[in-house]
Amino acid sequence: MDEQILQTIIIGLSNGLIYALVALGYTLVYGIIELINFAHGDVFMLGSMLALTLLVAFGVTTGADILTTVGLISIVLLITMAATATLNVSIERVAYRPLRHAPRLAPLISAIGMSFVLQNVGLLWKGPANVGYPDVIPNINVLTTVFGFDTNVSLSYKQLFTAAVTIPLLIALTWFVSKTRQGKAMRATAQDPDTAGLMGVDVNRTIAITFIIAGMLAGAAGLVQILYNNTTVWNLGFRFGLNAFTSAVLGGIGNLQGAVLGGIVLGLINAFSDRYLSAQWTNAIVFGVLIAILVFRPTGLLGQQLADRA
Amino acid sequence: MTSIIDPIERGGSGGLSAWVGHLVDTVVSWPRAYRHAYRRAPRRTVLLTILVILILVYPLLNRFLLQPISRGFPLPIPDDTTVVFMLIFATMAVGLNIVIGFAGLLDLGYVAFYALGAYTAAYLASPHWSTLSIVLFTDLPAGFPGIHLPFFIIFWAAALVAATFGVLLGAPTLRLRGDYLAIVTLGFGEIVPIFFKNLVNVNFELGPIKLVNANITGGPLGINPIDAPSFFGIKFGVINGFAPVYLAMAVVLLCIVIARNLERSRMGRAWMAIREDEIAAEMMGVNTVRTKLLAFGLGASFAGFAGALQASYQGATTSDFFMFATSILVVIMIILGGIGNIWGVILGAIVVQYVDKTLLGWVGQRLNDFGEASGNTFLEQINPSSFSFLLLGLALVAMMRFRPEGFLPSRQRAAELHSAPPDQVIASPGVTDDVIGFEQPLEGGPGAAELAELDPDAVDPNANVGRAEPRSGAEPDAIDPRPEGDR
Amino acid sequence: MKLARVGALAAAAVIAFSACTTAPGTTSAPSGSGGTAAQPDVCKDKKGTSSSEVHIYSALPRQGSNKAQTDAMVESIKEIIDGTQVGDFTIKYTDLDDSSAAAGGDWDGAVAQANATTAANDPDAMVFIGHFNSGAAKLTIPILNNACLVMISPANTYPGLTTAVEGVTEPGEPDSYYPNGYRNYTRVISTDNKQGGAGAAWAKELGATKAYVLDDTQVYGKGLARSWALSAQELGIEVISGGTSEGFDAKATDYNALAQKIKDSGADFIYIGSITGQNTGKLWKDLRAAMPDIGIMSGDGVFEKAWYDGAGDAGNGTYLTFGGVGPNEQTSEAGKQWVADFKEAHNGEDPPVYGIYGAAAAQVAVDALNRAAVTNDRWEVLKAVFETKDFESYLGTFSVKPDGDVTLAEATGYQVVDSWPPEFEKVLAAPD
Repeated sequence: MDEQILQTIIIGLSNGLIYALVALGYTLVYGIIELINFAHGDVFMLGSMLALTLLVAFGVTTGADILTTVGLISIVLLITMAATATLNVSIERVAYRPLRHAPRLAPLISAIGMSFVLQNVGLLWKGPANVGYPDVIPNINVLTTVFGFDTNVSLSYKQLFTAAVTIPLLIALTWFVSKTRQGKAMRATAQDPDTAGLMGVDVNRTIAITFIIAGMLAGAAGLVQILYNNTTVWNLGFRFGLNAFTSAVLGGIGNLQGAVLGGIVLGLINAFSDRYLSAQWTNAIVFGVLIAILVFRPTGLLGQQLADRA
Repeated sequence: MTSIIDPIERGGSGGLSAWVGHLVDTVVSWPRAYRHAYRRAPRRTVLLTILVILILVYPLLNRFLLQPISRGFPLPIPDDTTVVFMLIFATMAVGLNIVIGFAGLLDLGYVAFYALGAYTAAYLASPHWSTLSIVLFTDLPAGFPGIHLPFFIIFWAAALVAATFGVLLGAPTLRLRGDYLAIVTLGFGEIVPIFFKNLVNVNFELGPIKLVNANITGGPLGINPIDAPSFFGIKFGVINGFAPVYLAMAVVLLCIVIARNLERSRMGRAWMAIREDEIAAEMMGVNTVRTKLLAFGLGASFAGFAGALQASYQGATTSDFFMFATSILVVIMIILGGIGNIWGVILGAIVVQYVDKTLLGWVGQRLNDFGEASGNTFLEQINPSSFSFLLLGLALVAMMRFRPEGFLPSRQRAAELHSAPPDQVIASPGVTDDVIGFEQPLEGGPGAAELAELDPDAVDPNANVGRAEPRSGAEPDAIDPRPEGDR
Repeated sequence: MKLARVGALAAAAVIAFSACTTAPGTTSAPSGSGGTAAQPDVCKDKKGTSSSEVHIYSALPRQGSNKAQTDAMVESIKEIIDGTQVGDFTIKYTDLDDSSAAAGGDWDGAVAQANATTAANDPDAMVFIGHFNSGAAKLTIPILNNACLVMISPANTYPGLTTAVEGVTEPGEPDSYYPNGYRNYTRVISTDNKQGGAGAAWAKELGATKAYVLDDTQVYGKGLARSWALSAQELGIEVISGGTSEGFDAKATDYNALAQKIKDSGADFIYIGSITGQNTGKLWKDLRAAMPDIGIMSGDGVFEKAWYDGAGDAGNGTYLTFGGVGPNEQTSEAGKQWVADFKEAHNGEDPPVYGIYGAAAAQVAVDALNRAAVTNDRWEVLKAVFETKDFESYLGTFSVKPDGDVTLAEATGYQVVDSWPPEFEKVLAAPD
């Protein structure tokens, strides 16, 4: 294959995996309470800021030996995930749960309000400009240095890292939702909260757990983002949020595999548009695709699964 | 009293002439309606009259009394530009209220129509197309470069363009579920400014169309200058002091009249029926797609009015003015003010603009002065304006939780939002009751409807007895977050 | 010809509705008439009402990504102006904010116009210092023109506000900003086309042959990038970003594919016209990751610590031009003193580049008030501003030209070497 195309695919895939991590959070929440959780992208943004702060505080820098680095990054990952999960479930408790029986518009507006609050928290915390972080995971081409291929195509450790975090998380999540008792409760609640309640499912608890999982994913995505993209900024949640939500819709909202597929497809669309068209039109193309998908195939590429109620 | 008869019913399918006739009737019947209102509630009518007079003289009061006082003793008074923007946003709030408040369609990209209106106005009244020279009904010399049409034409053209795009966007997407529609509109709201920003220095070739370095939208510079509105030689631009405030007031008044009439028309009742229960509405013979499309298009046309006013008043327009935050700002205004109630959303627009543009800045300056006087560096540096979106976000969350119907609610929405306990959720919706509820205003007879003509819903509990009563009781479906078909 | 018919129709229409007032954009307006021309009607009776005070307003974005710059400017303006005695009058200074949260902390057209209206309606207002963004100035110059209030900008670099430049400014500019035919706008900084031209010449010296030009799709970024590209083409540098410059989307989450495209295009030089707040940190990181050794040049829109904090190591090696002289290269004694004072007051921190320009704008204002025949008459103050000649400011000695530009034309070149602030390289000769 043409090296340029291959390179663009690699770039698209690694971005797509990060979109997918965020998109899973949207899709889980939408699947269970049919709410576009506008604040989710901003939870992710705060996660990336927290991860950045912790990485700096722990002194994770380039050149440290690999075991220490991996160990510290794992600790940061756990703390960030715990923090964003707590934040997300608190948001649910304060802003959404009281509105469980209000008209649909109410929690959505509340989510938009929450999103603005969180963005401003990020703005006050880190200021208006991008905050950078150095490459801890070396940006070295694996293909030439490790495998010894003679090629211009670059696949870096950073890109492998995004895959190494995202794919196990997706597998774990699928297992959780499809095989565990709690997962069954989630699916039941998604299908019909009232009946699920009558059958003995603690609906409030199940929804809270969904928000905890979504928050953990946002935290993990935040860390991956800071290590892969090396920068964060207060309105990052809005940028990623739009892409991630589009991914979720693209794949079929409520469908976990769909969110990942949607993320990857969107990553590729972004990369190919930047590469072969013009970067200033990419956002217009992404939203054009979104509108087209919704018009022609509202259930997304893989259909809605978690909650089958199109 | 002809005004109480639904124009659409009278004119069969509702032609333009029927509407115009209806508007004329409404205006002609004002003195009589006023006497009625006075006889029924003298105190309230007098208070309202005083309020209206105060609003009308405010720009003069501001110019000749408040501003001079303010020089020695700073007051948090909005200046003319801020007042005009309050009214521009009030126009948009009234329009978005048709879409969200009446028809229950969440539009998160309303700014796109505002932008389309503004650019339409800019194209029709500026030297932008400098190779052309079309000068009609304006005081410019013939041969002046560009297209220059008078405000009363571009005003309607802007609304028409915005409405057309509203219908074009709505036609394929309005059958989507509510929150999908929100996302589609959000996407549209992002796309439109991208086009306006990027279509400059365009090099494009497709068959016979060949563009070389074409300047279609002015790019990031936007279009500047745009002719100020002008009537009988009086100009209403940003440099003309308080005169444009009256133009903006006239626009808002026009919007109020149109929106009030729409609300009371058969169409208005159909919108609310759809908002409450789309399937029930459809069963009762409402053409839901056409009805929703009309709400969307009419709502968009109000944003077109606002856009034309913005461009002509400011004398410039650029894509930077049309951001997602603006869409959300209008949503915030109608939520805070009282969704579904025209007076509420106007109040919301005025209050939000006032707080954002005047009050926070004033408070900041007082704090800074105080900080400087007392040597407190924190107070000296603080800028409360930068927290306005934080405050608005908190206000949204708090409002949704504690007063979701807004400050000046439509009683109908208030009844819905203060919902019955959840165990009633599964109860049968009682479709027939619901729709009969909407037919009430007609059956309420001329008296009630006629009195209602002047009465803001929120203030007088008796104005719309017919419509409101059935709602306060069992309100089955509105409580359930999901549409009928989802259960 | 269709056009002719349209014209005839238009003529008929105009006869029916005879002309009575001039409109914005009138082509016949005299240009560059400055303060020495006859007193226009709008400038009659513009005397203040207070017998002891004159007012000066500044309108700058006091929130968002430019806050560090405007903080330094306001601090300095305040020190020079507030409470200063000019003749029988004490100056009262008011710091207005032309940005809003609704505009994401950047300038907001409605707020900028409200600021200008506030100043115009205050009869004691004599000078308006602002704006930071040329886009805002475009909206407010006509308002102040109608109120006979002079505006001094410390930072506007868009050329079209004062002069017409082929290929860069719009038809009708700059006269369209001055509805009453006289000039009321001046700035103490040189323009984008000069900075862009100087930058292109420097790039040529650095050995650029094939350049890829990016812009942030904003007024400043696009204008600067276009100026640079046009000059570069004249100097024989091939510009391969379709036309002149290609926009990058500040809302994008990454620029890896864009960087790849530039790499594949075979460019040996990248020019970026942008302001810091447009996701520049990420842009630099992705460009550097794909092309570790390519030359990257940018303008004064990113000449601030916030940019370097965002870009980190990826910012190293970047050539930065500044449409003026940076704080540490000030040659005048007064300028050096200003920088030293700032550092002392801020724990040794370097002042943001525009800080000293705010101070110079304030100096021009005070000087004009001192020289004006009547201290509290707007027309006299305006004339005095335009009569500024061989004025010794913090920026060196300069005069105000009739079109509102100053005789300062220098640009300076810097390179980031492993830390902030960047190292001074050379004074760039600005082309005419």
